Amino acid sequence: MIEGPSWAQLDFAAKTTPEKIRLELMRGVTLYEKFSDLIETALNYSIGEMVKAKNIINPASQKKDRMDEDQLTLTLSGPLKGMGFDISHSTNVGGNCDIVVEGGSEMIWIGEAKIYSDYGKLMGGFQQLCDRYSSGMPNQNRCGMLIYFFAGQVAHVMEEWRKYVGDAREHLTSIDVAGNTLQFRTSEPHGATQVALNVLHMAVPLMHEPTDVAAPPKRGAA
Amino acid sequence: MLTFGDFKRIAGADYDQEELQRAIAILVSRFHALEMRLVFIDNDEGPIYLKPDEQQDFIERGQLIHPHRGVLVEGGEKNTFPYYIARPQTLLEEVAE
Repeated sequence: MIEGPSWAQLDFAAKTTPEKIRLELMRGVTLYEKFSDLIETALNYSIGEMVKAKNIINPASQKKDRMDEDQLTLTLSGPLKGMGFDISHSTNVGGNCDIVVEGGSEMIWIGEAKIYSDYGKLMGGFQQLCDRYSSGMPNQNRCGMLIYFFAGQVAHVMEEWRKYVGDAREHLTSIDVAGNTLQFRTSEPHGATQVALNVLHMAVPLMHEPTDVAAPPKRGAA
Repeated sequence: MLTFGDFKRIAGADYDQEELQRAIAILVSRFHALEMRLVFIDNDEGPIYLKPDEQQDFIERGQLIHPHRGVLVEGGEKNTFPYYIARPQTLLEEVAE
């Protein structure tokens, strides 16, 4: 008799997204597509957790108390470490890449993170990601562009960013992410290897400007 | 061969403990130092260790085809148990680096 849980018991015990991902990694992930899909699922979970904590990350009207880019990226990465990914921050992969997740068999997923201020700054980050950090090797050709927003209009900005990046890079194509207007994917041949470089652009909406804290307007004030 | 029972004896951690799961996840999927295998405990025949193709088929289907009889085993996942084997070659390569 084998001591320990059955396959079904392990499935039953894994109820949350982090538990489900950890179970997948415990069972063994050897395919790059699956590895990358799991990272994207994990990041979506982590983004959700950050958005829940936006009042702490971005206290209302307290610009000085906001997290900076590194703090945001560490907060985003933390849950992935707990899920069993080998994730690091500012690791040298063609330069100091913001997020690096390494798997077996030389699998690498990289991410660039930027606080949104204008499209030019986002473009700088995207160029670093695609043209500096990415090796363009198979098993290393999926990446993420994480965009933190302290202000609103996120869907509109993501739509405009999609047009901007599409206009700026000749061979780039973009596609929707089903059911999520705050994300899209781009693909283009890597400059060095011509292997398709696939980037998931992910918004992290952190605007926190509650309207219930302001004093109500006085009626009939004369 | 390492079972979750062995992990509990060695590390004092149950299978649902996060730290143990993290360690196993890293050793399996990052460093390939451990590999998960499956054994089906058949009520009639006793333990049947799944071959790699049988294991892969089970993982993809989520249902077990009896390795000897070729028929679907109802609730087979309740009688299929994971265990781990060390991958010495991987460990030797890591040590040699």
